[in-house]
Amino acid sequence: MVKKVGVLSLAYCGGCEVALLSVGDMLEKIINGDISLEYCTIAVDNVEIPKVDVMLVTGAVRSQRDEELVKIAREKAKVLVPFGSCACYGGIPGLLNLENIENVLEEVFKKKTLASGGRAPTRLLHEAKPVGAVVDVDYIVPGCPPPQGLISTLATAILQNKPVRLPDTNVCPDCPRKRSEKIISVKPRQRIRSLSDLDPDKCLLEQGVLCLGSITVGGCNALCLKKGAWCSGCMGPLPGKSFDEEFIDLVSSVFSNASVEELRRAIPDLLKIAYMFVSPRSKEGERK
Amino acid sequence: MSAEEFSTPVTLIEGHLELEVVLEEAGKRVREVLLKAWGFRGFEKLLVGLGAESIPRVAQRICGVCPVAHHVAAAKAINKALGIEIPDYAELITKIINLHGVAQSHLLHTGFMALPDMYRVKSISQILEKRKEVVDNSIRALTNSQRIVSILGGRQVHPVTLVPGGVSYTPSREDIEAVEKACREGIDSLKKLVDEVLEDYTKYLEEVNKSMKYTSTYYVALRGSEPLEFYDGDIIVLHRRQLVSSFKPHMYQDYIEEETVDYSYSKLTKVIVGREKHMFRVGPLARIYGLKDPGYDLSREIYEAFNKLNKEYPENPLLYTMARLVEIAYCFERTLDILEELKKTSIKPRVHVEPRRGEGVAAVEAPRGLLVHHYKLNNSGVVEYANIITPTVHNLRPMEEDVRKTAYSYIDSNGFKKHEYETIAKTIVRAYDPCISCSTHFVKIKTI
Repeated sequence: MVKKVGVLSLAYCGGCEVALLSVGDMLEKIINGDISLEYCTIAVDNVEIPKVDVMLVTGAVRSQRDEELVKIAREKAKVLVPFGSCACYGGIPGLLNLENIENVLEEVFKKKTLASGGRAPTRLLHEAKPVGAVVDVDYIVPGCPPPQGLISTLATAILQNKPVRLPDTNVCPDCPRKRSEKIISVKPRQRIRSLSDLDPDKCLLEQGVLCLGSITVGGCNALCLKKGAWCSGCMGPLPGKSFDEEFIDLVSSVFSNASVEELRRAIPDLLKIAYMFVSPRSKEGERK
Repeated sequence: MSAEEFSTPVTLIEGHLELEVVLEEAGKRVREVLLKAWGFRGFEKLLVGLGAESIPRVAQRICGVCPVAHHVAAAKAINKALGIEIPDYAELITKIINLHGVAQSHLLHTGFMALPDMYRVKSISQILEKRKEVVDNSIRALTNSQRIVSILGGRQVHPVTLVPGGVSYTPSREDIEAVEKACREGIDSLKKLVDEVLEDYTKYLEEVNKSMKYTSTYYVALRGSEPLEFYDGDIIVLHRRQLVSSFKPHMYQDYIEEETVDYSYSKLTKVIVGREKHMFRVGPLARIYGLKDPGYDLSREIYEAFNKLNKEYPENPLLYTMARLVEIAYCFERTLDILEELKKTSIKPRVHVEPRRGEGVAAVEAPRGLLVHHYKLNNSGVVEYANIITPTVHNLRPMEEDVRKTAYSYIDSNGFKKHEYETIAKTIVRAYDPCISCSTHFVKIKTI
């Protein structure tokens, strides 16, 4: 049976759609006809949300229109899946929740009419929300964008009518850097200063550089760490865990000997780093 | 007399854009044609408070179709603000990543958006039945370009390797060989693709040209030391392929003027030339209009075909599609040369960085045109001001002008030909390859 799949894009960047349509099991199944892509404004010329077996939703719920669309999609889809970290947790657009949206719009557009709708197609909500805060979701596929391995798992799951289960492990097992058995306490270093002299074989945390791999759900094959970059936590929390609680635990254990002043100097943007992808929701399944 | 209005979402583009038409006199007169963008996320505000090293990784979340251009522009502007000159080695790698950010975005547009439009089908899957080889070659070329970004950038969407001071990853010999191989395969697939579609494209252009109206505009692009410049140089203004003005990237606020409209989350812009202000286009068409000779075989071959068509249909926005093909060829061919240079350059991926107060502006050519990133940092290297001017902001005005002009010719004695008009209007918009997620922004430039 051909599975009908749709992609509903809300406040998004298109990266999830690009990842979905890049060469891999999903594109193969679309091309060989096992999966029929019925709706996806970036790649299919259909304007109405159709009835589908599985609706993937990308982007955060940022406007009233987003909210209306996702409710329609929920009614028309047997299975609804937030795809990518904006839809799962609020993602990067969620960082704006630290600001007052009316002030932002006034500053940007200098027009009150736009903030309240004006002739614009829709009004913005006061905050960005994950899809799960508006409608029931069946399971989630996180990542910014979701990694190809997880997209393959999703393609198979769609054909077998099964949910995708996220791994129980963090990013560390896939990381090429070596780590001591036990987390040792170190002095924090400002990331920007450390870039030129990092030991390429040693755990970043042990070098005093904040890496979020240990509190982030795996499945990404540690792509960033393999290219000399730290994990910024784009996959979100491990199943059942709360990202912000884990973040506080991580910082307080690894940098337990650092004074508040040392921490503040080394990580001047601590709050934004902690909430980079999960500001509206830091725990999977948590309902606002 | 009451007005009748209808609106429709434009599909096969990135982002949320609505085409709205307001008719009066019982459909005998077009009162208004508007392109309404939505999908505001407020990046320039949410970037404030982040450390400089996070900016190249976070700013690119503006757009997943052209993340590479944002990754490159952000890194370049941050390095300027920090007073850093990156090593030659890092710059060469950055240039390759940037070229394939352009190529992969162009190939996505060609395969998934332009070809379905040209073959009058709803999606790439439906081209398979008629022209399987076209789909195969476009996907093969795309995959090769994406592979290059993955190898050097770490990830194909939202890469990670550009950092303050240079690059975080030093490619191995196998990596370099894989990039070379990807270029050769990319050139081969693209050549086949162009051979397969050129005739169809020429017919399509001839047919569509009859049913549309379009505007002659100014064109703005970067001009530097390379035949097609994507990374450096001054910003030039062209009119009828003649240079009429140029300025340094950091002067952008003196030369580009913005206007806020109450119907869209995107602004509209004009370029200031002397005492006049002009609508302008950016992107592949602007870059190709500034080009003398691309300097490589396949690029030159496609460029000559472009020039022939341009003589017939000068400034028709559908030529964007052809200009993109010239550029894809150039990106692959140019990369092979840069790789040779890279092999001769001493391996120095990055230099030490000390955070400091500073301001930096960088302009690069994104797939859709001129992209400016502008940051101010405090003493700790934390962003306290961010301004990002994306190419689609500039293209929205001519795009709207084209669909408006076209609308007037869709009235006959029976009234407004809604269906025919919608089809042609969407085709016009798609040709520009707008990126609406990029355009719905916080642009801080001169306000009218």
